[in-house]
Amino acid sequence: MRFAPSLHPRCWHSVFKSAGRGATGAIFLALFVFVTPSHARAEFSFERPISHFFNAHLLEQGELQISTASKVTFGLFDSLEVGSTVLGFLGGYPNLYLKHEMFYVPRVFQTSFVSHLMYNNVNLSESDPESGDEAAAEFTPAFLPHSITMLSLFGQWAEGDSTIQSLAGKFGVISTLHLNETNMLNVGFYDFMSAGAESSYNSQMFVHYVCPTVGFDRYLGKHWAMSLVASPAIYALGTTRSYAGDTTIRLDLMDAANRDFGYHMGFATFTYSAAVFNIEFGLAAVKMTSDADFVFPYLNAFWRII
Amino acid sequence: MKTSLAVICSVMCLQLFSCTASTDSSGLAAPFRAKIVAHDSTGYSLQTVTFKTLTDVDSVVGTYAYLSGNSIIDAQAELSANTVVGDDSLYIDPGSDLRIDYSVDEDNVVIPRNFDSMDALAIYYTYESVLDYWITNFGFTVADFGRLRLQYAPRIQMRNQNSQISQAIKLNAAFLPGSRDFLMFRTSALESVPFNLNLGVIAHEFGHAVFDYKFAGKDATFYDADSDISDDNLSGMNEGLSDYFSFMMTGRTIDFAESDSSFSLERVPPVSWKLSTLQSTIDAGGCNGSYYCKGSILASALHELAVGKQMGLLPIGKLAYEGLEQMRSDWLAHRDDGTFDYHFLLNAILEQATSEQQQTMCTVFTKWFDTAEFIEKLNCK
Repeated sequence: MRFAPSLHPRCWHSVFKSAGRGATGAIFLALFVFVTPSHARAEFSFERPISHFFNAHLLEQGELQISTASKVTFGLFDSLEVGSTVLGFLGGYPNLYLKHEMFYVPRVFQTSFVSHLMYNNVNLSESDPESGDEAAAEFTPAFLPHSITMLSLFGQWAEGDSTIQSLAGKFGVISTLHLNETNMLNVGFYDFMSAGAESSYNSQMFVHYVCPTVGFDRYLGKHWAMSLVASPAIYALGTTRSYAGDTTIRLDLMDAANRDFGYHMGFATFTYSAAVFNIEFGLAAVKMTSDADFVFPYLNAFWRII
Repeated sequence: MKTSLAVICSVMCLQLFSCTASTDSSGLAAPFRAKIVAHDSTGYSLQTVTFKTLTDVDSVVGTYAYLSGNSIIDAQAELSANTVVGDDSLYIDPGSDLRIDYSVDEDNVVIPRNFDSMDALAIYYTYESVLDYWITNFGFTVADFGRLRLQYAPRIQMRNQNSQISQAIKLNAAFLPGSRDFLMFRTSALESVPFNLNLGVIAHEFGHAVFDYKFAGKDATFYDADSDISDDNLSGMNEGLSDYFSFMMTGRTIDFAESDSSFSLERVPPVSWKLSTLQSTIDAGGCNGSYYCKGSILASALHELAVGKQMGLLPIGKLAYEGLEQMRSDWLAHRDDGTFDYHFLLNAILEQATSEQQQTMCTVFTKWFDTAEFIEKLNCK
């Protein structure tokens, strides 16, 4: 598993500290070790489609998906899927994943709302001075986005900037068009948003990136699937409010002059399904305003249990 | 984009000011009275004031000035010889009439229903007080000085075809040469006394308008200089003199600090540095305000003459005011070679004084502008 270069060390300190105290970590581990599938199915099909953040398919009612890239999702109903990045929770980043079916015409198309939002609260007075300075420095250019790195189609790890209070994440509407039995086209819009507030400076900020998304899922036999996703940001809206003034920034990110801003990502992955156990591997490309561009390989194991 | 911004701003205007909703405005007539926060000898309090020159209370328009809202200043616009009063080339949107929200009590006193409405009335009332002072003591006329536009909560915008940065500044006020508009920005939570209600702040901005009127002849390009040194000296002089004109009008030196305590170190005379400390110490004598620091030396020197040496705030102000016109030729001669400095104004003041006054003035000027190089240029031999 590889994380974004700018991940704040404090995230990991707090993950391990919190994990040591809580029972949640033990439950999480127990899920890996003791859960035995009752209806293990290994085939991709209309009835058991590949379901990830950038397509409209949902888990079945009662189906549980546990990803080592950190997200656990559960099919509460056939039309509603909930989940969370557990490690994020333990590290002080409560987060909620939701996927809700909006329209569905069997074997033709499906449209869903999907979101994953993370809350972050950093108390500067409790952090060490060095980190505090860093957090304050990161807050100053408040219109810059909070970095959220998605490592896998199936599991997200959210890296939040060390602002004081923030809500960040991505949500949108995605449609999956069934071209035929094995090929699906995914088209939609996502809003990568970030909101932060800081009490002592009486400051608030919001950043939105509009990310039209196009993707393609293809079943390569019963056990293999391939996914391609391109989700570039084309427009940014940032607002800050502080004691010194209110600022609004609107950027057309398709303009070459604004190429250094924005938040773009793309994936090319293969997923192998062996009954309950699945493995995903591939390449991800991410460009963020505040960080360098990077392309990285990744590997993600996940379990689908029903 | 301009159209859509105008629509957005119109919506904001409606939200902020609503439509006029007078309880019973049938008995309203000039001179209008309103209950606002204003300054008197006891400080700031809610009081009923009478407007002598307000002709339209709904839009806060009068014979001295008029308020305008929702304007958007073009951050990329250039001041030019064509930038004159009434010319809106500095604006993306020059704004529109305000519509304040108020009710009227049984005594026909206007009661603002929200802060923005009270703020707008208070700005006009304070401006009226300041202009009255200059009419009374300096013989100003509105026809000559101008019926200025007071921009309420303007935004500043920088844009090109594909991007736009727009800012509503707070914690400041400004005077815009060329169009000669006052920019009364939004109130920040950090302002103890809102800048827009602060008599000293509006008197300071008015000081810039006086500087522009007497020194620059309302010509925005008159300030242009090839030399940054000359430019800095003129800017600092403009600030220091505007501070002094504010002290002169209010009789107080702590007005700015009452709004923002950070002003107490650098803008309340006497400041803790002199010209030698400003030039010889790494931290500029503890002053962080760039050319404002030298301006505060000028304000401190004039204030000491007026109060410490008991020469009077108004008499010293009049000498400085008259000195501005005299300084025009010095500026034209030295603005590009970097030799324009404060001594031109001080010498212009000295020239108008009696020989007895000159002695006192020289003592004070050489105390504040205490480098040998500067003293050499003063007519204090």
